[in-house]
Amino acid sequence: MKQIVCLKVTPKLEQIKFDEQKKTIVREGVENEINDADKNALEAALKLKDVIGGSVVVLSMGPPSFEPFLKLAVAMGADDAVLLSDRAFAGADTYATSRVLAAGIQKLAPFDIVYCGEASADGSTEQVPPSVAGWLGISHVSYVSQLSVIGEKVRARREITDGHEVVDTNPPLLVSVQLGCNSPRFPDFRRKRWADKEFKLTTFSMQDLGFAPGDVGLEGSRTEVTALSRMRSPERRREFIEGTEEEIARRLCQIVGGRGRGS
Amino acid sequence: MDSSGGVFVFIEQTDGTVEDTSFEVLGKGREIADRLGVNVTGAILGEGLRDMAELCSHRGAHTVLVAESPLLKNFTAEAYTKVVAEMVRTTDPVMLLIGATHNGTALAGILAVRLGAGLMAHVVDLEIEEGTGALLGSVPGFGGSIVAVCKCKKGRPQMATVRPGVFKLPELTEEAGSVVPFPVDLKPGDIRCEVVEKKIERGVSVSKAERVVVAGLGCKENLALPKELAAVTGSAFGVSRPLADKGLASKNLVVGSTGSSLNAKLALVVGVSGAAHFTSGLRSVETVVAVNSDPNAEIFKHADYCVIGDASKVIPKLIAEMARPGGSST
Amino acid sequence: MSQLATDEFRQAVSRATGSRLLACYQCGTCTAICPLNVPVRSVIRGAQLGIRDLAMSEALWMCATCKQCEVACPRGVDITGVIHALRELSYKERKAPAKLESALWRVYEDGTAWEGKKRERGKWAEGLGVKVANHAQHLLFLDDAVSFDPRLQRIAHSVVKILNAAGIDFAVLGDKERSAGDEVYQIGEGGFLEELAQSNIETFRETGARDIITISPHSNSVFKDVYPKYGDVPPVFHYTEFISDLLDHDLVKPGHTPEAQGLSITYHDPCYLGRYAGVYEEPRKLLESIPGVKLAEMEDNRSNALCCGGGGGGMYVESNGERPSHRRVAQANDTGALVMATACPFCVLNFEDGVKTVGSRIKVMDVAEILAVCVGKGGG
Repeated sequence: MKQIVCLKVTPKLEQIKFDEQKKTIVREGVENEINDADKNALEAALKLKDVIGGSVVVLSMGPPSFEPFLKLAVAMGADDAVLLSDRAFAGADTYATSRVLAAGIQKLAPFDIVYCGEASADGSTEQVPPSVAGWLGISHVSYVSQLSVIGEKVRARREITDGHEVVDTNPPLLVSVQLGCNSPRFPDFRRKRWADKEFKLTTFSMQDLGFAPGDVGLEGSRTEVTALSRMRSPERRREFIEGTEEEIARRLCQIVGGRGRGS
Repeated sequence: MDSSGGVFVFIEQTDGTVEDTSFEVLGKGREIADRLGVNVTGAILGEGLRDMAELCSHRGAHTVLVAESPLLKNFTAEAYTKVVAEMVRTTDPVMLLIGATHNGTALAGILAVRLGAGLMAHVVDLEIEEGTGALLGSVPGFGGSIVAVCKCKKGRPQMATVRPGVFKLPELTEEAGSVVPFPVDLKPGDIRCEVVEKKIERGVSVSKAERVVVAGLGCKENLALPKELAAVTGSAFGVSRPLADKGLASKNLVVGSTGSSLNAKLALVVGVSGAAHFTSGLRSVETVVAVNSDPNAEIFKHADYCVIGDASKVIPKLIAEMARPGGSST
Repeated sequence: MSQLATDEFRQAVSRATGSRLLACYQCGTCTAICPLNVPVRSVIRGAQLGIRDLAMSEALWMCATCKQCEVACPRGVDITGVIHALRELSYKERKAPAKLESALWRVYEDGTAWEGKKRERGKWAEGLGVKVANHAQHLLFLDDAVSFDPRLQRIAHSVVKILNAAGIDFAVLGDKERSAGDEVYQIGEGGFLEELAQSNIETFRETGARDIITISPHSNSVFKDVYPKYGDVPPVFHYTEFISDLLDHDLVKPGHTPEAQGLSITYHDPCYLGRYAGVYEEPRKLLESIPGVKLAEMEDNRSNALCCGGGGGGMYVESNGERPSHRRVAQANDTGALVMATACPFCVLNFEDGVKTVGSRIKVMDVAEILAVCVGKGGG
């Protein structure tokens, strides 16, 4: 069973600053981490591998600075890691990103299951997984919390709005994994030391994937950002209720009683 | 830009009930279509759709395309994508709007690739650009603290998925659109996913409730107390994301950028620190009351009434006060 | 439940535990006395015979490593040592609780097991004029919970106030501080622990501090008992030891305060300060140095103190049944004291929870908080 896990390296959100003057996102000095949902995706793949064997390859689209994170994934148990890296990939929206990822996955064919985290912590559009499935022409089962193999089929439990489903699919398929559905295994530090020193990443460029500049990155995107702003919050009263516990309770009771603002 | 094809809205139904989000999007779609002077086509897929199609025709759709087939009974991305793509090819809409439910999101992603279209995901606002008539979608990112106004630069239709609870439910109208059956060209072999089990558990959706009590980490994992408060105040119960991540509450109770936007008249936010991804869900709430033991909690900046205190002390007192005969609640 | 003993497992356990298991003759005193109802005797038996189901059950993770069993054990078995060795094996088999595993990730990615943002770790010190990441004679180490939890930050503020009043030259690491690694040790992980310990030891060296003052007895124990395996650690003192010494040299002089007159305080010995570090008298001495204070002892004190349940990773894992802190709060109530004092951040949180649940008027305070009220008031 060959499994491929798409990984994104995302910035630590709390370190992101917004430049009010230039209306841009300030990324300098921001530290990165493996997108949480992708850790769950990798764990799901490794869990399945623990049971039925095979291999797990992690794949990411990004700059060379992603390398340590891919090695961390190897330390967690991935057998191999591939980086899709090219200046031309920068500025990609979900359309262009999914296109490149799909091409990278295709280069690793044949495969049985492709995993993605349900969303990235920064973009959080949830669109890359279905779009990658669209490019590959394979089935997509989303918001998966559990996976198993039943005979020839892959059985997945999906969490949907207001309920859940169990879906059986013949491979190949793409699975997007729900954030927090499992406990990602901590890296094996002996393996990490080996990976840091010895493991060699495979890198594919735009040419390696057979793309022209207009297909990828900013140019290949179907959407563009016209403006950025900080989320505006409406002006709130910010009135602090003070007093004894009883006085506070009485005042809260009045407010809850339904007179709302302006009372 | 040729808008003659109008605005296309995907209407999601599950086991005979239309998702509220689909109606919200239909309402907004109609508003946009009116501005552009074009029509709205709603599309509904499944089995036994007549009553639901009627509802859609009274909520703003000029035409409702109905695709009936046992192969569409349960949502599968494969079947739905094939049929909707066919509908889009026939109608050639300028815009395609889908409610960002789990299924809607999955559908939109594949459709965008199939159609070569730009897709703005889980927007919290939709506008029409002056002059061009292009669709502008406000897409939250970076945990909800930053909003990017996006536009489709290439491809047709312009696609957007819309976050549940952001737009108002449209009123039922006297005027009725036409319900038109759409021929379904599907074979069992088109579907590789088999739904072997399905369980729906509907509760009061937090995004629709008039009043909501939201519990956060400050409740120290004791959710019985805020739940009781919800019961005595007639409120729905919601949680901040960390509580769902810890498995203490189901994800459909989450308030914030990864969950629901509240549209309540009153939100009692207890033990929530108030990170940006959470407070974005409070924007449409009329009155926010926040209780937190940390005097510097960010939540106080987003609240109308603030109480510095421990949830486990404040809530019981409030519950007692509400129960007191002759007490202060009107 | 399979009772099968396997040679392979028995050998693995034997390698891990060495001769520590051999002395146990299964009297069961440990199980009887365990405040968390861990079936200690069974776990040891399982380890002796190589019965996986007994030795590697969930019970292994319920243990708060409080050492009360060791005090009672007639054979002096190194029970917590055996528990730890079994945890190392269990961790390798991915049987550790998920919550501890996520704490492990947080230590690796954000330098803290307690929830908190890496770059906000130094915020507790804002406006206090504390030396941050600078050379000083003493390094004050807060660790994760104290750095981030608003309730526990007050303990740090109190310690700072006392040290300043005594004119001590000290510095803190601010957001350069990384977890001491107690949670990493408790989950049985070894590879990352080595890197973390070495990195911290290097940081200590760079500050040029001649010793480390700890606030949490857990970091205290990790530095003193675990770190030496990985490098040279400067002398480590819990703040109660350090300030007790200052008291002896008249550098700390608690003055008269109305709140302290006739105040009855009962002191709870934290497991990791008492049974682990042997520090019983210093905290009492600090409290008794406050004019007007009267100490009342609980029924089980010093080496018999009842664990709050927070050690051994207990702050991160749900406990089954009644929380041990409730029993202890009840004992505190029985003394009639108005204040329950302790010197461990985990104890503070657990007992405050306990007081809320059990319903008591007793106020839980850290020794530093009590002392800080009286220091710098007409006395020095």
